Amino acid sequence: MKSEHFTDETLQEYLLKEIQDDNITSHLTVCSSCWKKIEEYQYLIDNVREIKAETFSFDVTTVVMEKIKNAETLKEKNKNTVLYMILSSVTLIALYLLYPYIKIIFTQFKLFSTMANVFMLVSVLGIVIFLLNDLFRQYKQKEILLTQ
Amino acid sequence: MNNESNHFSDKIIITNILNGKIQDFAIVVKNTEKLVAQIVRKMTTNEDDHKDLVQDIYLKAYQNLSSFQFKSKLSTWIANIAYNTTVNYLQKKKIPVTDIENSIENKFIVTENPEFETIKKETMKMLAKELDKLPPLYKTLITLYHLEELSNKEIAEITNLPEGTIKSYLSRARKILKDNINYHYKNEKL
Ligand SMILES: [Zn+2]
Repeated sequence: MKSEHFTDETLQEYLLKEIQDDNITSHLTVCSSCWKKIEEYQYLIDNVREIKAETFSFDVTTVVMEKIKNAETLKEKNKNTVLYMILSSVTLIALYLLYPYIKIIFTQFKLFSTMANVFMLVSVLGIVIFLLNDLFRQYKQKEILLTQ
Repeated sequence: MNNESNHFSDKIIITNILNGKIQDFAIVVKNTEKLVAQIVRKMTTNEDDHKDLVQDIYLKAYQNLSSFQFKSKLSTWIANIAYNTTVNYLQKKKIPVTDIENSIENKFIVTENPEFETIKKETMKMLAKELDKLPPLYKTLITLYHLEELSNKEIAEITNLPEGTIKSYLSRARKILKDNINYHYKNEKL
């Protein structure tokens, strides 16, 4: 007695143990054509498993890390640019608002002698340079700590 | 168990990266590059674009790392990014992902009576060639299922396709491969 043949899809599922069906098992013992298909699929699957895995011709880690570091640097630069823009706008606005008062301060300088003015200017510049230098050194230290 | 410990170490690595230890991302790359290679190289044979694709895939993974929910394995998540990125690339180049037409017509290079010891080698070579002729998606599915031994569920997570569709694509791909191997052997015997 020969029942209907099973489809390729069903035979594959049976072979891969995705389904279990006694009807197929008993059919295979009597049907040489379905059995032949099972053998062919088995042969195919055994060989496919042995195909060499694909690799790239370049070192993936190096290439990827380079890209990511570049992206990070760019992001950092953009962040800095935004920061500088905000800072300079704030400064400009402050200068604009304080202009009347600044004018008053400068008129006071006319009352001192030239020597006294130069002395004051040099002292103020010295302090500013010292503070900026200190700020920069702290920033560098933090940068080293963060990137370690 | 193994899965859990994988999840655990994934979590540590991701936390470190998100806390600024960028160089730890290299571990993620090392752990997943084999799977990504299988997908990218099966989906597209154009070697010139592989480097850009790989950089794109991992940059996306890096930038979206904080949105990884640990609902799947990290490798599955990255494989999903790899698959989507490559599919977008193929669509931009107007390369069909599932077009079966060219794979069925047989364009064999008939090998002349291989020696007994080389038959196995020849079979592998022929099979690799036949696999290459399949549409990108079919190739990739066969590779993920039979070489990477992923489950239908995992493949579904990678490709965003329903499991039923994956099963029927796989079944079709196997049938084409089987028929082409048969055809090849018949021709050889003549
Ligand atoms: Zn039958």
